[in-house]
Amino acid sequence: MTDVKNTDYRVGNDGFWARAWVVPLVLAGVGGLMAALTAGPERLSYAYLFALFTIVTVMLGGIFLVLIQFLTAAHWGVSTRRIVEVIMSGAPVVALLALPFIFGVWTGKVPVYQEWQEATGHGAHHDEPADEHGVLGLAGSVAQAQGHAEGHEADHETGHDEGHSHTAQETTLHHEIIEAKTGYLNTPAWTMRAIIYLLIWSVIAWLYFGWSRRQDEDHDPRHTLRMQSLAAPLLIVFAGALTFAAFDWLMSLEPSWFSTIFGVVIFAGSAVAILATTILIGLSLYKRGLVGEAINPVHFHDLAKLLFGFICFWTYVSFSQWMLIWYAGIPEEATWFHKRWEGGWMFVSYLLIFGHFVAPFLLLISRVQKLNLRWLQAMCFWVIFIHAVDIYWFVLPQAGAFRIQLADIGALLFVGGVFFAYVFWQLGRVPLIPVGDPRLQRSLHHHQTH
Amino acid sequence: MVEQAHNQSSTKRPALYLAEYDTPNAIAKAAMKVRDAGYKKWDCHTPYPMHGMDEAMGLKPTKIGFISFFFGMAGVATAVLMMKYMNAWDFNFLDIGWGYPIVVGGKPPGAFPSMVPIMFELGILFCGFATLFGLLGIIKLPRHNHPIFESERFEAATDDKFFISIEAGDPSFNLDRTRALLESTGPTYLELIEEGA
Repeated sequence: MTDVKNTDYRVGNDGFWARAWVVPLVLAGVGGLMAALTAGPERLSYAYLFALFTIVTVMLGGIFLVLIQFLTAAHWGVSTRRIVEVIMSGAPVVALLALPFIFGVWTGKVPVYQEWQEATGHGAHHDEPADEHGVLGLAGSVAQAQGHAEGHEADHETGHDEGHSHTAQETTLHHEIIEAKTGYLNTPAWTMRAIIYLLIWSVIAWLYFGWSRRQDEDHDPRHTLRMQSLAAPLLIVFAGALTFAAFDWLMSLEPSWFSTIFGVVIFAGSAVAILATTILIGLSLYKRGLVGEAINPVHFHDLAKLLFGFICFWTYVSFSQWMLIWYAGIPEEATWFHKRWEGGWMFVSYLLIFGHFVAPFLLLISRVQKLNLRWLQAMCFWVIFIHAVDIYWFVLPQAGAFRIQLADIGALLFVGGVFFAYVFWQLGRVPLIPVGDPRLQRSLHHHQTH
Repeated sequence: MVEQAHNQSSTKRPALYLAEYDTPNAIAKAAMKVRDAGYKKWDCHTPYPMHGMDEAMGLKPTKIGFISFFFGMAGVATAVLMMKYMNAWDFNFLDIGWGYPIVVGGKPPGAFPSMVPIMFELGILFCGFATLFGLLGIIKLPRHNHPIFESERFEAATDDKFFISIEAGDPSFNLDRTRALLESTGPTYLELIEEGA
């Protein structure tokens, strides 16, 4: 593993990693074609949102992992930090990939947020004296939006407005709830916030990656001090942006529904995604002898412990969110989970319980399992897959019954492909470990195996 | 340098050899020698945790994880049985009284989701206790005294000196051969500690 040639910790001009970026780029092309050719604008919008947010969570996990390491002045992860930094530095790429989606929402071409976007439009009329017909008409459209999964119920509600005054009342109430949120949920505000989130992430990523890269050259510990002192305030800003982005992009798909822990659930998924991705890239570099012993099984073990911890954390917050809603059983809140149970989604919900918790819990709990690198690698592939399923489960039930379409896979290949083409390309340009970091020596001699 | 502190008298029997070293390097090298000589009942005493000592001493990974896991799962099972008995099942357990189904919040008696928080809590509780008491069992604590405290020099183990002790209970222990082994590791001080009859 210790190759004299590679003591500069660079990918070099030969071998897999020198041209690794071609693979995701080709996949992006194939996926883009697949998605564009097989789906109409509505399905494509949902599929693109799913793909985009899956990659957003990976990138956000990267920002979190870098900031938290500086916040705690940790030395254990210094040698693996460069991989995380490179993933984090893809924030502007994510922003570029998000632009068409944001533009589509702004111009109304992306029909995923119609429920509150239309509520904004009708807001002015609603203040006028009771117009029975208008209200019922609106109620009908809301009910239709609500009932994709069960077409017959939507018919049922719109069809009989006389004999079902109770239902009409409920949908009117429902509509009023959305109406009341339009001060926050309206197209211009949504668009502006989306741009602010992307700017925040891009600036953090640009600053930290830039400083870390400069430290490679000048070995100046003052960069570390600056990054440490900024880590705490930036983590607060980052957490706010993540939480509200989760509200804006995913939770508002069902605007009458709300969950205050939603941002935490997304954050937990992000941490899981970045840890699994880092382990996979790190393992590949390690096996090809590109990082010598600078990244060794002890580092993978540390990352795996964190991965295990965050899988449990994801379970804890996801279950908490679900159980409170199940226990109260208020229709407004239960709708969201109802949609993820009917129309074939029950299978996916169970898959998440067993695939995102039970299986990884039992298969990663022991030290022996985490230190077996082949085992760990297989588990990381699984965890990344199930993380994508998790985001899929957040987005696609809003589009109707469970049916995986080529467009979903294509969109993920496209967004993920472009993002990782950038990440792999960037990995080929920079030292694979932060060679100028003052804590690097401690990280290299970090060999406590418990 | 090497001296014997105590007079051997017939009423006392050897308890352990105590060897003192000045540097972490010296004790690490000495530990490897003792490990390779095949001793089992011996220990290293350092003023601070030393990375890599487990390897130098040839320590096997601890079993505490298995104990914790087993009792954690036992806690989960206990929670399920307890909740099912108290909220769902209709029978008399060990004649302590009848369990009977209770409907809470319109949910079926003993609904699984409402049990999960208790399963979690009891799992953590059992796991925590098993870890603490399992650990105490493995490291054989608490105990009233240990002959190693007979040595006054041993107090420096919490200050600036490093010690290896080999207990007389070790199958390979032999007054002469063990002393020769420890002398060959170059200690700054070597002592045979005895305990009273």
